[in-house]
Amino acid sequence: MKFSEIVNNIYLNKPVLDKIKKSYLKSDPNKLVLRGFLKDNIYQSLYNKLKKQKIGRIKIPDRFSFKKHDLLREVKDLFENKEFKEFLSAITGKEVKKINLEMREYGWKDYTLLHDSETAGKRIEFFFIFAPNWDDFYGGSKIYEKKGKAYVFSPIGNSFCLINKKKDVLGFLQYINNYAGSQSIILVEGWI
Amino acid sequence: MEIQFVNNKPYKHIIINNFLNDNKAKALLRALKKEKFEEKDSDLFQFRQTQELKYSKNKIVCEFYRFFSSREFLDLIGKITGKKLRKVDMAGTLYIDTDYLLCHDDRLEGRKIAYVYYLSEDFKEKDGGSFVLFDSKNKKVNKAAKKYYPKWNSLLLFEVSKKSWHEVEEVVGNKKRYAIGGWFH
Repeated sequence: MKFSEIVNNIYLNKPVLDKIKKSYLKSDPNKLVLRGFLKDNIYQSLYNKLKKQKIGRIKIPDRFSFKKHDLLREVKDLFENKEFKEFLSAITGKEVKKINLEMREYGWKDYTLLHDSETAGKRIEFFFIFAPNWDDFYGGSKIYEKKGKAYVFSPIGNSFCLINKKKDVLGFLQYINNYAGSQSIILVEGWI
Repeated sequence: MEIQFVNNKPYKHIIINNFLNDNKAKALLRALKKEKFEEKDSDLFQFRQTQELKYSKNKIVCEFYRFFSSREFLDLIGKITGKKLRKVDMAGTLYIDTDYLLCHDDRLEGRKIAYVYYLSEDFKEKDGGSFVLFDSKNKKVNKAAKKYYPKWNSLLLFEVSKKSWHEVEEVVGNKKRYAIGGWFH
């Protein structure tokens, strides 16, 4: 399936894309959130497929706890194709050659910590969120910190988030508390 | 106690039950509840904490600090832990529903022995707030090895080292996990 058949039409509109680029470049650090990123039926069908995957938790107590998903072919098709790279280039103004991807599921007791050295350093990060019936109170926000100032991305389903993570910006996923119960969020996390 | 402290796994620690006379502990809890608790949060924790209790204006809290930081008490803890101790930091902590402290080792210049004195009433394991000790493998934190729920009027001591990985499990429900904690230097 083509990128243009999957993504909400509004994000393919050139004047809209120009506005998004302007807003991304104006923010410090450069960041954006695009809500309702995928067409509803595509979002729902991807989520249903993901929930069927059998996955195990990986935990390194002083770094992270989450469940790792295998990358679905549909997800790879969406985030590794030429059109998506062009879309990213159009926003960031940078040439996008290679995209690194992984999928993580976070539920009760899951988290990532700031000092995870794997995520330190300069890079452009993006993540797409699957989060049906989620409440901010459960936790799970993705938080980036720069010199004591925090930038919070709430886990809103079908959102695409992008941040230009400079060396002095560190990110973590806020601990998910008992109110989440058996619910979880799934993030397609990528970086270039 | 010295032998217990050294032999306990996964790293040197001890729990001393019924630490204070019960009435004294209750009076201290009443006094602690009057202190101002400030919300603290980061990637690693979410809980509430008082100022350094040595600056408290409450008579009972001050009396407890004076006892805990007295030469005699430092020598007693020094004898149990095999460390020469010269001073103590002290603050009150309060964990309520959804509060937690994730895995870390407490290492910071000068800290020799960490302590938590539990003033948490009627806690059971299901209420969360347990103190979890992790073992190490190849000099790295491995997995949870021992767990203590916050038992009323008990004092936990552990040696701060490269191995002293621990966490406080999330509190689940309406109970309030009051404690006084800090480090002996």
